[in-house]
Amino acid sequence: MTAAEVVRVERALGAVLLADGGGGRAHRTDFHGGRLERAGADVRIFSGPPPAPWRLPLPDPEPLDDPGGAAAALAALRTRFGRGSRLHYTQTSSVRVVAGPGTDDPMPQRRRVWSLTGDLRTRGGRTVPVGRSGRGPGAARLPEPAWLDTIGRLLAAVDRAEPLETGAPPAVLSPQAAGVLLHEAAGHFAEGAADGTPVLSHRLRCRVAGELVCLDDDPLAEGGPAHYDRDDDGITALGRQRIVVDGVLVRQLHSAASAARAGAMPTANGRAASVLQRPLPRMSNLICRPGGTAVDELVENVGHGLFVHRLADGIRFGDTVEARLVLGELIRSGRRTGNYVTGRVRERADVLTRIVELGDRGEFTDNALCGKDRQMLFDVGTCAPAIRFSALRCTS
Amino acid sequence: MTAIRVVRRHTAVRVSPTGLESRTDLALRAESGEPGEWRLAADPPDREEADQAGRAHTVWRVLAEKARPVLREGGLLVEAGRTATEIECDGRTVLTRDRAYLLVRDGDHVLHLGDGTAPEDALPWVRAADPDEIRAEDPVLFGPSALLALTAAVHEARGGPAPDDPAAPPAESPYPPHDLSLPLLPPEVTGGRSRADLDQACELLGDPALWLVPHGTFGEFAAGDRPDADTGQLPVTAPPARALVVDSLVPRARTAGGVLDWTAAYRVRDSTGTGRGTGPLRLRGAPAELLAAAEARHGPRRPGLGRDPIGRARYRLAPTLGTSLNAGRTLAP
Repeated sequence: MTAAEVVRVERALGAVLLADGGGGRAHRTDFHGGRLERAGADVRIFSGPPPAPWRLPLPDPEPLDDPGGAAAALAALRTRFGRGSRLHYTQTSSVRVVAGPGTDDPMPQRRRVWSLTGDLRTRGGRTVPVGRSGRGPGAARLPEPAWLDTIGRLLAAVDRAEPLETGAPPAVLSPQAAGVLLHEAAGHFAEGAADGTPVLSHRLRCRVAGELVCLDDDPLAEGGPAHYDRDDDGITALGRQRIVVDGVLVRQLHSAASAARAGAMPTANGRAASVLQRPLPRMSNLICRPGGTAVDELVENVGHGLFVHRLADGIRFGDTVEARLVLGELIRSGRRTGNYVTGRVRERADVLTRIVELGDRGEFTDNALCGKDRQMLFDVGTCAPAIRFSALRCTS
Repeated sequence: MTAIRVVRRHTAVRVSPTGLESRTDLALRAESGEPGEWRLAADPPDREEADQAGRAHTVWRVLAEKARPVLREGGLLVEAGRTATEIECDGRTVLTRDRAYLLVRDGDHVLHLGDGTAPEDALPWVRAADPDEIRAEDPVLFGPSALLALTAAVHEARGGPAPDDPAAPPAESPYPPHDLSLPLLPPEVTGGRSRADLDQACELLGDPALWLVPHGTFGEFAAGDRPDADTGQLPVTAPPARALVVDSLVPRARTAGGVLDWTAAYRVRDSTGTGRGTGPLRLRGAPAELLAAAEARHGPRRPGLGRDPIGRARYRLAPTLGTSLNAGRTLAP
């Protein structure tokens, strides 16, 4: 290996189970391959072990969940939530190692992640997207009673929901829904440019949220879906770093490449979905510091408005942030009414500047899936409290 | 039950517009002992394709020289590759297929994609065209990649393709690395496996990066990125003598009224020949409304590139559409 070369190698076991109208299907994958880069020159993608002289020791990944148990759990979910449901359970166990200049000594990084994705069908025939993911073995998480109860109530409420009128009501977002907007509007804004251009350092010191908001990124956060001590560039993570203080962006998240182009230090946020793809600047666990107000009090302070129970399919492009309003509930005279609504949140990227109050307890959202530049990660965590907005733009 | 084994090798050399090279060298295998179950594995490649690098660089240099007066500082992407597929049923080889291919792109505009190693002789433009060449009355045409971008935006807005649109096998693609022959096998050979079952294995075999992602999250195993079937019902007519041809569209943002704002790469066609647009244009319009203005197909379907913010790029065959729109109505100020 020369000083200008970086080699990344991965061995990964994967399994995909699908439960739908066609019955159950299963794929098992055993990947071994890598990516060799020469600075400013060519890239080589290969299957199998790396060619000499780039041999790196690579231990076996942890074994996957028992496929029989996972298939039974998935089938039970489908039975419980309707024959029209379609569910994928995916699990991956991998070992990845990166070596090259600027990286510390090659050290295998283990990763074990899972996801449950698909659509559930309500009794009334409506479709509700489901997305859960996290770290570690997942099969035992599929039949968790608390999650089953939550989803059961969600489906029942969606069946009773009416289309939301277009408008910009004051709103309280549940921790899950608040996490979606924080992730899209502030988290992605804090990420450096994927290939270093355009350099986005002009974003530093921009106001991205109301002054109550402080955000950290922490790849070692307790309970967070992301958990690594070295990123996919081989950079050692130093722990929690503040990225938004009093609503102002004070630090950008960088991979090795984006940091080099920006003239900044890498922040151990270089993450790749597969070793075949280049690491991009990505969040690890985005953590919003809670405030001091109970959720009921946030609702009371709204007066007339909207309580957002659940958002899905959040996306940011350009200066807009959008998400599917899976379930909202009208608030009248400071009380939730049981009148449910569905629609779409269609907001500007400065939506977080309308944050006026924070709940007193943060919690990690159960969906840590995040796609960016054709790379999907299972483990991008967001920990948020319930949040009150002075206005939230919604459409039916 | 028939045991199936599919071995897929893909080697390619891609030269970027700036002349940087990337190589792909993959050997992948899928095996199935019974319907609904596949095991996929990656193996060390067993052969080198040294001539591909030379071929890719030669084509890149020739085209760069030819295109220099028009592209100026820009360049073309060239990929020369080969795919080899072997399929065994119960240990008996039932299909072998070996394809050399060449891809040439100007941004997302696919100039050439086909089997063989020689590009088309002519480039689709003879000069550079500045935005002020565009006249307000110029009719607007959407090229294949632009049509795929509009289609993807429409599908995203309504949550999928039209319900009555016949699904196409996702393993069918004009780009050989994403195209597998397995669905062509007769049912008696494939042991009664369902089409969906085979397609999913093919999709995974076409791209090992898909092996390590949560499945069912971004359109893999789906055919939702093809133009809707009603596009194929439009009459085929000759293109207007003068037109603004939109080759590709990338969504930039959405206006406060919910209308998408697009960045477009374009050509201007007139009696003096076709000029390649310099710099991006801004278009404005809801994707469904832009598509609804389509009134004719011009020429046969050609390969286009469809992008997805989180899924992989897909090549699809699509026509160039003539519309009732003109540049004055469609271009953003």
